[in-house]
Amino acid sequence: MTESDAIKLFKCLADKSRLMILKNLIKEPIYVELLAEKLNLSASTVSFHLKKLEDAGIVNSKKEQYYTIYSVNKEMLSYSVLDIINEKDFDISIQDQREAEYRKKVIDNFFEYGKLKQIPVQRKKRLIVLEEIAKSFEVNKKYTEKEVNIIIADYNDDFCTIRREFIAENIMKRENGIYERMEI
Amino acid sequence: MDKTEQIIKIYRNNIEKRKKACLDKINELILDNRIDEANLEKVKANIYDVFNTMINASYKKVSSKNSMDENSLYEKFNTEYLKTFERIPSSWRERLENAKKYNDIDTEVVEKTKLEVVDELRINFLELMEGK
Repeated sequence: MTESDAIKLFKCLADKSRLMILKNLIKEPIYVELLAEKLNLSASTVSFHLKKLEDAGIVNSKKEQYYTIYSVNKEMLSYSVLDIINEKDFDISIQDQREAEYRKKVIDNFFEYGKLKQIPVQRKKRLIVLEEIAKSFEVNKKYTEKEVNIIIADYNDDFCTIRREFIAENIMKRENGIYERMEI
Repeated sequence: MDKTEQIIKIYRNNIEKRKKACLDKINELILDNRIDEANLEKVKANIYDVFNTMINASYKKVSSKNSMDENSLYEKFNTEYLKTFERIPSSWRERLENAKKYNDIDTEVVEKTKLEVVDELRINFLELMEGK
């Protein structure tokens, strides 16, 4: 667990409604509508809290016929506060952590539901976006230009610009019309 | 005071009451350590403000045109203001659909909250227009 995961976990728990949800889930796995009724909250509010709890790894969900049943992640809840504070990954350098947070922020700002909203003008941001798209290409696999275009088009219609940027930024190399992703 | 101004006064009063209830709830929720729900109430309060502002804009738009009798002004204002219930939330509806499609619960809850306030205000406005 990284430091930011731990902060996310503690922030997530610092909410009365979420604690009430957990109290109910500890007794038995339950679905949204029943939880909403028990807690006198709207189903959408309960879903919202459950999503936060799930993102923090405190709650699991599984589909059962028409319902999604939620249950507590007992492994996560069995950690002591001391275990979490003493986690080794806390030692990751602040610089690395800031870099990771910056990347995440750029990706969140420029992508919506997996689509690239616009190509960033600033080079540093553009590189992050290009590297994110490049993850869809396997290293050491050869792609024709058409295949490259189709993969990029899933993210943005301007596949020509992105494809050229891949080459200019050495994210991909091109030889005789065949493209290959470079190690990032 | 003509009919249009009367409707505006009552409707604006209703919005203010709802917003006041919303602000009271925000304080309660904060004191109860339910910050995310308090933030959703803040979203509601903003929507009340938006539609309150739009009353003025709609009234100015219709009343600045050539002078007209009281009934025509009333009809024109109602038509103009009702358009805002379609125009303003259209992008929110689109965002809600996308959020549902991609299981983005955060956005879904926010957009749903905004649209619930829009529906509530539209119903209230229509009731006033019908003299209920």
